Amino acid sequence: MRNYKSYGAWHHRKWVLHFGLSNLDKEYRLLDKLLTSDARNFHGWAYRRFLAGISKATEEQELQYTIKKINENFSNYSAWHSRSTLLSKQLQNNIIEKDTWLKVLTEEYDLVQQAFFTEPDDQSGWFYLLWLLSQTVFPSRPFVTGFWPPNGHSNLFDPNVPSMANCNILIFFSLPVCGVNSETVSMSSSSEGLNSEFKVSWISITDDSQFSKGWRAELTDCNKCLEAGMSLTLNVQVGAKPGITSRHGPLLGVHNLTVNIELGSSSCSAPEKHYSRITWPEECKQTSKFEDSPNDIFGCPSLPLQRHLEPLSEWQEKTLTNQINTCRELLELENDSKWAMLMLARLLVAYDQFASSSEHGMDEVQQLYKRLLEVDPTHQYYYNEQLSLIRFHQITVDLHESSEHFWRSDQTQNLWVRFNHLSLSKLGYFERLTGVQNLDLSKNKLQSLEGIEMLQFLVNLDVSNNHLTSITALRPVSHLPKLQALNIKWNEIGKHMIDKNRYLFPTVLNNSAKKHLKNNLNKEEGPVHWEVYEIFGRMLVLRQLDIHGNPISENEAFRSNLLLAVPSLVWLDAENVSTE
Amino acid sequence: MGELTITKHVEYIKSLDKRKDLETALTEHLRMSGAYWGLTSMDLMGHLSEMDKEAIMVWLFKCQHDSGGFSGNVDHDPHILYTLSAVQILALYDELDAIDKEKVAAYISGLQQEDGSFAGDEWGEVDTRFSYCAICCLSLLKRLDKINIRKAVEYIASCKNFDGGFGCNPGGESHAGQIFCCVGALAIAGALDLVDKDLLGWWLCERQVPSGGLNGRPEKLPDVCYSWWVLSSLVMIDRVHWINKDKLKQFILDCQDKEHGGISDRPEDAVDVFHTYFGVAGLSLLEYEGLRPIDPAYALPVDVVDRIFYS
Repeated sequence: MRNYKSYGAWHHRKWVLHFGLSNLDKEYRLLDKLLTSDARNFHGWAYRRFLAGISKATEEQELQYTIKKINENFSNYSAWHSRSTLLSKQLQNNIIEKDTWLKVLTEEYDLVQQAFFTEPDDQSGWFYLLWLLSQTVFPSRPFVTGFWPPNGHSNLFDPNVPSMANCNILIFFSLPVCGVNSETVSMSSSSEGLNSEFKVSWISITDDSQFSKGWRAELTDCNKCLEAGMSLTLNVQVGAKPGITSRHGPLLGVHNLTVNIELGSSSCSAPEKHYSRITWPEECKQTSKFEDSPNDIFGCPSLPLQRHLEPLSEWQEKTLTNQINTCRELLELENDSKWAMLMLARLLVAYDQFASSSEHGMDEVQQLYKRLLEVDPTHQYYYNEQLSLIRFHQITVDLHESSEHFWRSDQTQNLWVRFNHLSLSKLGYFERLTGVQNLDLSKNKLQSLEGIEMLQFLVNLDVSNNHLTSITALRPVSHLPKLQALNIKWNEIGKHMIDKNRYLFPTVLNNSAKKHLKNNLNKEEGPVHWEVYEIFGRMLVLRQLDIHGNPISENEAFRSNLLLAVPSLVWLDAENVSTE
Repeated sequence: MGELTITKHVEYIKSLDKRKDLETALTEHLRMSGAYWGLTSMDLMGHLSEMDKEAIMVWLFKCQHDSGGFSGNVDHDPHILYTLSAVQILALYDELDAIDKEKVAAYISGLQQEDGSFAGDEWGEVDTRFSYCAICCLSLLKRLDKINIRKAVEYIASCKNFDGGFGCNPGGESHAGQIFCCVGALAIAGALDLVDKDLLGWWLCERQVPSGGLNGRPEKLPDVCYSWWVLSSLVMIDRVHWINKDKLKQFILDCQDKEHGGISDRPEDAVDVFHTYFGVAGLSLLEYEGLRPIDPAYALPVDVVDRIFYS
């Protein structure tokens, strides 16, 4: 076999072996020769897996082979890759017990340490270490990250006030899950005069697919049961029956929360006939003091994710600390090792997320990413996103500290949040901001709004002066059921010929398009037209839209499609376009 | 920043037809893919009309077999790779209605195995490349329902690795070419939520080496073809801003033969139509001015894809 890289030749060899024209011994020897001269030949490794299957070689034997290759040369990505699959298989097939798995991981950590101390610039060991970290800390099974209303707090419900007319309960998960329904999430009430069990329907906050990170229940029975001033206490149990599952496994744990519902008795008159433009009020500039815990009002209490699970086990804590120290050691020897810096940053973030004590680590992480920007400028966008997430974490973790960004209007009790001019290029920690109605993210560097669909109570969103590059980038915004005002001025919509969001939601292109909401489609349909309906057409209560400064705003066809797709629109830029 | 010498590349592609050298003979079996690479490049550069559509159509139909599949050239055996290339060429020329779509769909669905994977032809080699060919081709023909999509997607998911990437088969090492095939197939099947975008995005952006070019897996040399496979994968999962686009643009432009036309795998090497296509397609994804946009999943110009799905 002269050409080691010919797909056809290897396939032919399998055929030859099938007819007994060679034997396993010969094949293994041939393979050994090949993988000695070219240890990265993936055809060779695939053929080895094929032979292992026929000769019934155990995973243990194959693991020995990978050790041999790694000892020959640490920079053997193929061998490390092979290890990861063999070990995973052993775990899956229950050849390794859960406790032995921890021992195995410890040995793997030792093995990979040798690799990156010998050759700190080689990627193979570092990617393997990243995998070991994911096996150590991040549960692959989903867990509850938050819920609304926050535990013990009241959900004010008032049919006279449009923004409070529906009684919603929200649950958020760490991974997209399906199977959230009235069987798997039970609700019961101890209040008198009511059926003890509630039947509600749960819908995902993105109705895109079966799987979603956020689920919402509407309690439409409420107004039948309550008289003015009455309150109701619901006991909600998430995971009451099995069935909630992500693509990676079922829900971890069972979670209980209590929800209080009060029927408000507002003397509020009928809703305004004339919608006047929402603007950011002057008192934005003043700080507001919160008497109670602001974190509990704005979102779910900002505790580490692991709050709903056991704290870090002794082994986890020891392992993470070990690895952190190892990386620090390596950095002393090689100050500019990009991989050591990156790994250390990731380890510190992982430790911080799960440890009970707080974030001294975050300053060090910021320093590491700033240093990485100098040492590895090619990946600056990635490092800036990590810095952005840290920034976001810092300003949302303790609202007392960052009170200049948050305040509550005394009249309407609405929550206003201002995060403009912070160089944010990536958003996160949405569970801390669930209750926010007004959010200003203008003058940042956002090119994606991924995750913003979690803020189900948003009425007013300003993302002007960012880097949004297409209509499709607004898809997450189309899942906000209460959105009345949207400002997307001075972005880059219409400027780019490549759409990076094209395949991230159901469309005709990926065979997932749902039946359209509205049927008054024009004869000249093109993708822009379709996008206007699919994105803006879902914003059912949108009254106010600012689009000036995007190249597409000059497009007449776009403007007229917009008016057809969003009949609720009253203001387009500063112009009153209402048809009433 | 260098310049893309479009006129030279147009002349280079037009000249390929008349060549009678050894390389042309050795690649005779894959001429259908060669034609797809050449024609798509011409369309992206805005010069498709300069090719002889009629002659190409005549030759293309000679490559169709009774089974419904297409071969790489006349008198060669049919294969799923060349069936996809043939359908892509027909899409470029808006001639999809000229074939019996049911027959082609039957050929492809006949290649699906029990575990959801696809064989390349009757001889049974299985590879995720063929999953992409099947899903892309059937979607263009609007006959994706002829296969078991759920199983096809499950098989691809079973090829996912510890680094977020995908290999040829379950257990196969992550490789940018396979990653494109798997991510593209999942994109077209509406199953991109199966991809861990941050994990894979990081692995992909680490393919960029100091010279600005992209390699296909760790510790390997950069090659212009990865400008397509890595780049289109990054675009589909919205992580393309994690690489340095300007440096990549410059690398591709440095791989041109500005005198005789064509693009090679790396600077100073010999050119071929394969790398010419991937270079031009990569520059299109990087929004190089003067090129028309290409769709990252179907690997066809955006207006061709839009014409098929939106009218």
